[in-house]
Amino acid sequence: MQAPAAVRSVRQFLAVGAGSRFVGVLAVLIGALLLAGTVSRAVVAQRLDATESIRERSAAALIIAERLRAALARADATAAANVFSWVDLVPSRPSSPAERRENYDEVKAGGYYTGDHSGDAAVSGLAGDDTAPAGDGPAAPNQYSAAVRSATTALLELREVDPGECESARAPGSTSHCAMDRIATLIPEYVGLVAEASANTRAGNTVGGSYQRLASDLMATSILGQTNLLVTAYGDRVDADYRRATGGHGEDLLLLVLACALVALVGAQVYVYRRTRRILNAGLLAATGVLGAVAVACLVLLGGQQSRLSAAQRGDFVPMTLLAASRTLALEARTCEYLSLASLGNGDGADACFQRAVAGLGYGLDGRPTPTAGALSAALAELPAERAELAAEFTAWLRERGEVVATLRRPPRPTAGAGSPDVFDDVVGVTLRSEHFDRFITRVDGLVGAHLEGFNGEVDAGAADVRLLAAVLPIALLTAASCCVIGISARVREYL
Amino acid sequence: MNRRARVVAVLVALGIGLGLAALPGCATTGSPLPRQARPLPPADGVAAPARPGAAAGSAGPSSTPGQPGPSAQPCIARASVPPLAALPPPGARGSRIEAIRRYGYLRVGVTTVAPPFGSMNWRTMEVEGFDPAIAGEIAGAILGDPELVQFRAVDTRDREALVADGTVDIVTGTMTMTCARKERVRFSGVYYEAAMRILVPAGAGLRTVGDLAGRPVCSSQGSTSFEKIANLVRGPGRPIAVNRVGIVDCLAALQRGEVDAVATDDTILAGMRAEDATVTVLGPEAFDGVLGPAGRAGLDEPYGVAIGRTDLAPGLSPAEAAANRAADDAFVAFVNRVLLDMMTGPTWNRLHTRYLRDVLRVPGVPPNAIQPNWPDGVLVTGGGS
Repeated sequence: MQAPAAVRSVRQFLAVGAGSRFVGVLAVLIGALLLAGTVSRAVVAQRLDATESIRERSAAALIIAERLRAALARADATAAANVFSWVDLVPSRPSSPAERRENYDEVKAGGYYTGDHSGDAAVSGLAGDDTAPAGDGPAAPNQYSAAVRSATTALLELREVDPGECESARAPGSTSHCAMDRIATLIPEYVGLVAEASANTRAGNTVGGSYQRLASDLMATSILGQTNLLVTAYGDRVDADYRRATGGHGEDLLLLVLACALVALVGAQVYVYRRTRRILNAGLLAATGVLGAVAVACLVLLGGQQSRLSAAQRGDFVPMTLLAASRTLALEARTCEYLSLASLGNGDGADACFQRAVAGLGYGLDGRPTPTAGALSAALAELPAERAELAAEFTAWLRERGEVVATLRRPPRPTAGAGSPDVFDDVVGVTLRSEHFDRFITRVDGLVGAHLEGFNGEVDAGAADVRLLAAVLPIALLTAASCCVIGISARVREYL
Repeated sequence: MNRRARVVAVLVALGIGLGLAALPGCATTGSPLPRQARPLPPADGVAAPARPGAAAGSAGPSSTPGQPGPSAQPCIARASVPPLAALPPPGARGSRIEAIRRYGYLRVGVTTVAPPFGSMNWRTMEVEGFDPAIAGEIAGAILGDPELVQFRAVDTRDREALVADGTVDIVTGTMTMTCARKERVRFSGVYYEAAMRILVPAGAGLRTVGDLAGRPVCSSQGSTSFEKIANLVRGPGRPIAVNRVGIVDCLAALQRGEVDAVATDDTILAGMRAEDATVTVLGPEAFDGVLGPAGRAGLDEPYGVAIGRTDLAPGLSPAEAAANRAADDAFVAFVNRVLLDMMTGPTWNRLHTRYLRDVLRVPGVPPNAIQPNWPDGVLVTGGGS
C-alpha cells in the first residue's frame, strides 16, 4: 500500500540529509516569527488606534459635548436673569452720576445682561475691543454672548471631531449627527426668543416673561435634551474605545504566538544542539533572547498602557465627568431659581425644576446630601481634597436661596419704617449677587480643566507606550529572524 | 524521564507560563460614564404645571350635600351680601378680620401679567395696577396701613384653589364672578365691570367672530373666556379654542403666529394693545351674528374680590359650618363696605384715572352706577355689555 503524498514528501525530505533538515528548521522559525510579527502588528495597531481614539475622538467628543451642554445651560441661566438686569439702574435710587456710571458698567458686563445683540449667534462684539484674541473675532460683550458663542464654537468643534451626516433611517449610528443638526437648528430659535424677551422686558412689557419661559422651556426640554443624547452617546463610545484599547483577547493571542515562537526557537536550539556535537547555536540563542525581550516588552508596555488608562479613568475621567454633569445641573438649577423668583411665588414648575436639579446633584434644598448619591456628591467622594471647599460654596448658595424663599414669605414691613428696602429688592439683590454660586462654578470649571489635563496626559502616556512597542516590535522580530538565519545558515553550509 | 522529555516539559511549561502571566495583565478595562454623570431623564420644562383640579374650564367642585352655598336662592353671579352700614371699630369686625389683624398683614393673590390691572414693575420692584391698589385699600381699612399687604402672584388656573385653601386671604386678580366659582369661594360685590373681547392682528381682515371660523383662538387655562370661546358658536364655523398657561402667553402665541386671536377681558386686552401696536381689540359688534342682545350679557366679566369659604372645611359639624359661614359673611360685608366707600367717594375714580384711563380709553363708571342697589347684582337697563 502506497503512503500518502505528504508523508512521502516528508520522508523524502528527511532522507536528503541534515543540511536540508536545517533549512526546514529555519523555514519553521521564520514562519513562526512572521506569524508573531503579523499578529503583533495587528494587535498593537488596534490598541494604539483605540488609545488614540480615546484621546482624539471619543473622549474629545465627550468633553466638547459637556462643554456645549454647560455653555448652553450657562446662556440660559444668564438669559433667565435678564428680567432683573435693570433693577440696579432704577433712577430713583440715590447715587451720584459717577456711581451710576460705574453701576451701569457692572450691569452691562454682569452675568444677567443679554443686551440687544443677543439675536446674533455669530455675535458682533464691541467696536475697537482690543481684548479679543487675534484671529478669533472680537470678544463677547457680556456673559450671555460669551456663553452662546462658546456653545456655537463647541458645536463646530464637535462636527470636526465627529464628522458625518444625519441619516437616521439608513445609519442608526448617526444619532449624534442628528442631535447636532437639531441643536444647530434650535440655537438660533432660542437666541431669537431670548432677544424677544429681552426687547420686551426692557420696554416693561409683561410678554417678555412669556418669551423667556418659552426660551427656557426650549432649552430645558429640547436643546439640552439633545446635548444629553450627545453626552450619553459619546460616553458609550469612550467605554467602547476603552474596552478596545485594553481588550485582553488580542494580547492573549499576541503572547501566545510569541510563546509559540519561543518554543520553536528553543526546540530548534535543542535539535541543533543534538545534531552539532552538543554546541549551543549562538544565533538561535540571540534570537531567543530577543524574542524573550520582546515578550517582556509586550507585558511591560501593554501593562503600562493599561494601568495608565485605568489610572486616567479612575483618577481623572470619573471626577471630570461627574464635575461636568454637576456644573450643568447647577446652571440649570440657577435658571430655575431665576424663573422662580421672577414668577413671584407663582412658579411651581420653576420650583420643581430647581428641586429636580438639586436632587440630581445629590442634595436636598436644605443643603444636606441626600441618601441617593447625585453628580456632585459622587464627585466630592472622588475628590477628598476639594470636598470641603466645594461643598461649602454649594451649600452656602442653597442656604442663600432658602433665605430668599423665607424672605418672600416674611410679613411686609409697616410703612412707619419708610425708606426700608422692598422685599423683592432684597431677594433679587441676594440672588443676583450670589458670590457662592459664582465661586462654585469657577472652582468646578477649574477642576474640570485640571482633570481634563490629567486625563489627556495619562492617555497620551499610554499611547506613547504602545507607540514605542509598535516601533520596537518589527525591529526586534527582524533582528530575531536575522539571528536565526545567521545561526542556522552556518550549520546548513556545514552539512550541505 | 529522559532528558528529551524533560526539555519538552520545560518548554511547554514556559509557554503556558507566559500565556497565563499575560492573562491577568490584559483584563479589559471599560470606562462607562458614572451613573450620576449620566443626564437626568427628560423634564417637563420650567413652565408651571397645572394644579390638580384646576383644569381648563373647570369651575371647581359642586357643593357638598349638607353644605349648601351661601344662598339657597337662585344664583345671581353679580350678587353679594349687603355691605356693613359702616366700618365697625377694631375688635368688632368678625373673627376672620381679627385673625388678619393678629398676624398683621393681608395676604393677597394678584395677577402680575395683566397690566393695567396687575403687573410687576421690575424697575421699581413693586406690584402695581388697579387690583393691587384695591387690595391696598382693603388692607388699609383692616390694618390701618395700605402697605401691609403680602402679594402672591396667581394665575387663572390656581387663584380659586389658593383662596379656597387659605394660602391667601383674598384674591383681587381680574377674577370674574360666576355662580360656578361661588360654589368654592365667596365674592364681594362687583368692583369693576369688564367684558370679554377679542384681540386680533391689526389689518389681518379679522373683524368678526365669524371670520375666526376654524382659526385658533387663545385663552388662559381655567379662564371663563376659554369656556365662552369654546361654546360661542356651534358647528363647523366655530373658532378652535386653545389655551396657554397664562393670558400673556397667548399674546406671545399671537405674535409668533401660533394663534390668530386672543379672547379674554377687554381690560387685559387693552393692556396687550398698549404693549403691541400691531394688534387691535375688536368691539362688541364683532359678536354680531353670533350673539343676540341677550347673549351679549354672557360676555360680561364682572370682577369681584374672592374670599375663601371656611364653611367648606372638611370635618365641620353643621353648627361649626354655620358659624364659619357667618364669619365669611361678616368678612364679605366688611369688604363690600370698603368697596362701596371707594365707589361713592373719590377713591375708585382716582384709581381708575391713575391706572386705567390712559390704557382703556373709556371713562370710569363705578359698578354701583349701573347697579343701583349694589351689590344685589341687578343691573339697570342697558348696564353691562
